[in-house]
Amino acid sequence: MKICFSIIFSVFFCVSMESQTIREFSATSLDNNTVTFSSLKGEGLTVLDFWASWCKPCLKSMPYIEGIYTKYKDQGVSVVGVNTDGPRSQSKVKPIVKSLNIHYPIILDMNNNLMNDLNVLSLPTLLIVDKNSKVIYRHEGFVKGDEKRIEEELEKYL
Amino acid sequence: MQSPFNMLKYLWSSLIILFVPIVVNAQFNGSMLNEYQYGNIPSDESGDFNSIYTRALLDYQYKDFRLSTGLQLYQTPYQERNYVNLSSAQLNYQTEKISVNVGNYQEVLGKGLLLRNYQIPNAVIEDLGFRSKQYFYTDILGASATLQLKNMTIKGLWGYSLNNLYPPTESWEQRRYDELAGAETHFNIKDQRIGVSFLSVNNELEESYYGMLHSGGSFLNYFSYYVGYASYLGGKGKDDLKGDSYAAYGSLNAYINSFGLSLEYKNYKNFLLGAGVNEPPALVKEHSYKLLNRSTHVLQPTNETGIQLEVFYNLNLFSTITANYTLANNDFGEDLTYQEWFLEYSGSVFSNTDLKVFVDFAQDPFKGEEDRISIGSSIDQSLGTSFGVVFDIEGQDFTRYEESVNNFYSGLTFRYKSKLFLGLQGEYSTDSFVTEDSKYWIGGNIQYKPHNKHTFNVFVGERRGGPACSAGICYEVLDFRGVEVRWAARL
Repeated sequence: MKICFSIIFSVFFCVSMESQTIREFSATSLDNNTVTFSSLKGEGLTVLDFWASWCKPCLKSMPYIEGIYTKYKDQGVSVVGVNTDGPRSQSKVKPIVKSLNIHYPIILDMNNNLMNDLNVLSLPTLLIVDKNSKVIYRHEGFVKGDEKRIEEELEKYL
Repeated sequence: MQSPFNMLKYLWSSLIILFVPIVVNAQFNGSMLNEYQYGNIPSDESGDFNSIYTRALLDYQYKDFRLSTGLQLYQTPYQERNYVNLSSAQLNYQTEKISVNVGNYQEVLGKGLLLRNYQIPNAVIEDLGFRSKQYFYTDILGASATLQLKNMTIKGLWGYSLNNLYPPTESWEQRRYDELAGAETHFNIKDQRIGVSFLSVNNELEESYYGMLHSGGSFLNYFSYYVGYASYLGGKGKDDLKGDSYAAYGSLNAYINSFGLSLEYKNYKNFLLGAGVNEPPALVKEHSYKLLNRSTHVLQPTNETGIQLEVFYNLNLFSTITANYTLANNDFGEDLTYQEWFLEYSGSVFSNTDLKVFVDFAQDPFKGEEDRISIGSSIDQSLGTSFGVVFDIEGQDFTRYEESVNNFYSGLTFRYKSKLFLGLQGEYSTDSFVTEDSKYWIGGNIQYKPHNKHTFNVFVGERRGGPACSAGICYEVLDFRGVEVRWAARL
C-alpha cells in the first residue's frame, strides 16, 4: 500500500492531465425549478462560480462577477452561480442574491455533488468552461484585482 | 477445441481491444492533500513527534460514467494511531434525468432533518481520544438513485452511514454503525414545492422509522418560505421516545430592492437519529471572525427551540450592513437560553480600502458565559494592482462564575495577487478553562500557489484550538505547537 501511495504521490507531482469535462446534470434553481446544465450553458464560454453565504470573499466577488456577466453576455458567455450552502444557511441564499441584484442564474448544490464532481476544494472557485463542456480555467479564492485576471482569461478564449 | 490457456489469452486480448479505446477517450482527474507535522498538543508531555497525513482521490470519467477511488494514510511513531485506508470507492452514472451511485456517496434528506452527509474541503480533524487524524467528511456506503424530472424528483437510498467520531483505526462495525434506507420525493406546482421523505435507521439497539412532510416556494415576488415537520413513526428499541420525537423547522425570507431578511424557527425534541446521521439546521450564525466562530452555540437536537433573524441592507454594490439575532432554548431540567445580537458593516470605504467592523453581544448559560461582548475590525488595503495588506483585530470580554475573562486576536497578512500570502497571527487569553495564567499564542504562515494545480502552506508556531464551524458543521480543533507543511495538488 505504501508503494501504491508513492506512485500516486509521484503522479500528482509530475503528471498533468487533460482538462476535465463536465457531465450533463440537473439541478434546482433558486425558484425551485429543475434546470439542466445544457440549458444554462453559453454558446461559447460558461463561467461557473461556486460560492456560499458564509464565505466573505465569495460575497465580495459576486458584484464583480455580475459585472462580467453584463459585459460579456452578448458575446455568448453564460454565467452560472453554484451555491453550496448546506441546510444550516440555505435560507439566506435567496435574500442575498436578490438584495445584491444578481441577474445571472443561481443553482443549488446542497449535497455538494457538483462540487465534488468537479474537484472544487475551496470557496470561492470560478471555472471557465468551453462550448464542449471542458474546464479550461480554474481560479480559487478572491482578492481585489482578481476580476481583471478573470476577464483577461475570458478574453483569451473568446 | 481451444485449451483453457488459449481461451484465457483470447479473453484478455478481447478485453484489451475493447478497453484501450475507452481508456484513451476517458479522463483521469484527481486531487491530493498532504500534511506533515512536527510538534504536538502543548499540554501533551510525551514530546514532539513527526506525522504525515495523505489523502488521494482519483477519478476516471468516461461519457456518463465516473469511477472514483479515495485513499487516506496517517503515519506517526505511535502504531495504534497509524493506518492506510481505502476511504471511498464509487461508481456513478449520471445523465440529465438520472443519477445512480454504487459505493460511497453523500446525500441530504429533508433539509438535513433526517439525513445530512458532508465533506469539508481540505479539513483534517484529529480527536483527543484516539489522537488519530482523518479527512472531515461523512458518507454512506451502499447505493442510491435519483430521478429528476421537470416537475418531480424521486430519490431512494440504502447503505451504512459513516460515524466519523471513530477514525479509520477502529472497526467497520463502529464506523458504519447505522444501516439506513431512505426515500424522498417532491413535486413542483407553479412556484410551490411539496415533498415527503422517509428514513429507517437500523443498528444493534434500535430499528426506527421516521417520516417528514415539507413544502417551500415563493409568493408575491418578494417572499419565499420553507416548512418541514419530521417525526418518529415507529419501530423497535426506542419505545420510551415514541410519540415524543420530532423536529419542526420553518423559514420565511423577504427581499425588497437592496434589503434582505431571513427569519427561521426550530423546535427539535429527541431528534438525534442513530449515531448522529442527521444535522438539522442550527439557526446559529456561522461567523467568519476568529473569536466569534469559536464562541458558537452548538445545536442540541435532543432538546432545542429557537429562532434566528438576519437582516441585511446593501448600501451599494460593495457595502453591506448585517444584523443578526439568535435565540436558542434548551430545557434539560433547567432552562438554558442562549441569545446573541450581532451587527456588522462590511464594505469599500475608499477606492482601495475594504473595511469590516462588528460588535456582538451574547448570553451563553450553556457555557456559563454572561454578558459576552465582542468587537473587531478587518482592514484590507490594496497596494497597487497586485499587492495588498490585511489587518485583523478582535477582542472579547465576558464573566464566567464571577470571573472576568478576556480574549484577543490579531493578524497581519501581506499578499501578492492570489499567489502568495505571508501572515502573522497572535492570540491572548485569560480564560481559566484554557490556561491557568494568561497565555499568548503566536504563529506565522506562508501560502504559495504557483499555479492552479498546487498550493503549499507552511505554519510555524502555536495555535489555539477549540470549537470551530466551517460550511455549517461545527467540530473541535486541537491546540498545536510546532511546524506544519501542507501540499494540496490537483491532476
